[in-house]
Amino acid sequence: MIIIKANVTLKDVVRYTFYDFYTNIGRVIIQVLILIATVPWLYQELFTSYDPRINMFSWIGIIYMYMLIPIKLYLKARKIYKSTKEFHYPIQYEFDDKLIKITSSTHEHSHKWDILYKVTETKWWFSFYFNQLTTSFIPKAAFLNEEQIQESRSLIASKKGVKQSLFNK
Amino acid sequence: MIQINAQLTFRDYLHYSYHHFFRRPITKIYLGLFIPIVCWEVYKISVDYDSGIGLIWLTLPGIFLISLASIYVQAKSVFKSSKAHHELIAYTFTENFIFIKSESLQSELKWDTFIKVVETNKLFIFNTTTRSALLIPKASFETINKMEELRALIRSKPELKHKLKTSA
Repeated sequence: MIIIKANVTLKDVVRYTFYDFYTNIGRVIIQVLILIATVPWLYQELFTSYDPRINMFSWIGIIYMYMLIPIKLYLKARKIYKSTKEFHYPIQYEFDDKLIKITSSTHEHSHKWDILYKVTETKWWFSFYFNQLTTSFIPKAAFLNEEQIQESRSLIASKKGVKQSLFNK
Repeated sequence: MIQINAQLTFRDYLHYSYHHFFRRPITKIYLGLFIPIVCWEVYKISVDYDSGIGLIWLTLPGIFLISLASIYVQAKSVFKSSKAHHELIAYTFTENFIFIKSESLQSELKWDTFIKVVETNKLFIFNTTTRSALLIPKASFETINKMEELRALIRSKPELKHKLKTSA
């Protein structure tokens, strides 16, 4: 059995919210298209000509994409962190071959592995997806050591019915 | 103690998705701007047919319809990917806890896990965060009395925000 005691911080939630937003393939394509469209325009604006009409619309686009969206994401993450009571207390995760058990001061939850939709790993956390939208994530900083991370990875990898995207298994 | 056996259907989940969408402040602001502009355009055409249709007249309903369609597609895909939604779930509400049990999961939640409870025409929505919730279809209640008992239990929690329908 693997036992992990985690404290989820605002920084974790902010990082997760940004990661979740900017790794969506549709949004990545839109960002790249806007970048391709705005870089030549910026070059033209700054170094050659000046057209007030293009100027206004392009600046609105740039401010929205690169300032308002990040601010909105930060505020959203802060709201989620503040409103989620379980983040304010330590959460204990227990994994064994059959079940995942999550215990906090407000709830105790256990479920079979096959109820998971997907498990993904990033540099900072493991994400357990219950469906395409709902996830529970464990910061890697909560693991005792690299061996425990590897042990968890092996356990997840042994669950063939669950989609997974892990680092070297 | 109140016991309910419930299975969420796609229609219930879709209802929740649209409910969530229409309660967002940005949707309210958008509709607040959109409806007067559309009314103004309709008025202009009714007064002077040759005035033509403004571009905004096409864009605003277009954005709104695309949003509605994308919510439907997303709801369908989320519902399909959620194995827990496809099982019969037994809920037991007591003074201190809510117990949830199905074939694949078991939970014990204190009432203070929830930030708000909202009742709609079809659902009781127990929000655990601003983005996630426990959904109980009203069709699962065997009697009106049971539903009223649950309302009374929710109302008895002073710390819990709620927006419930008035008793029948």
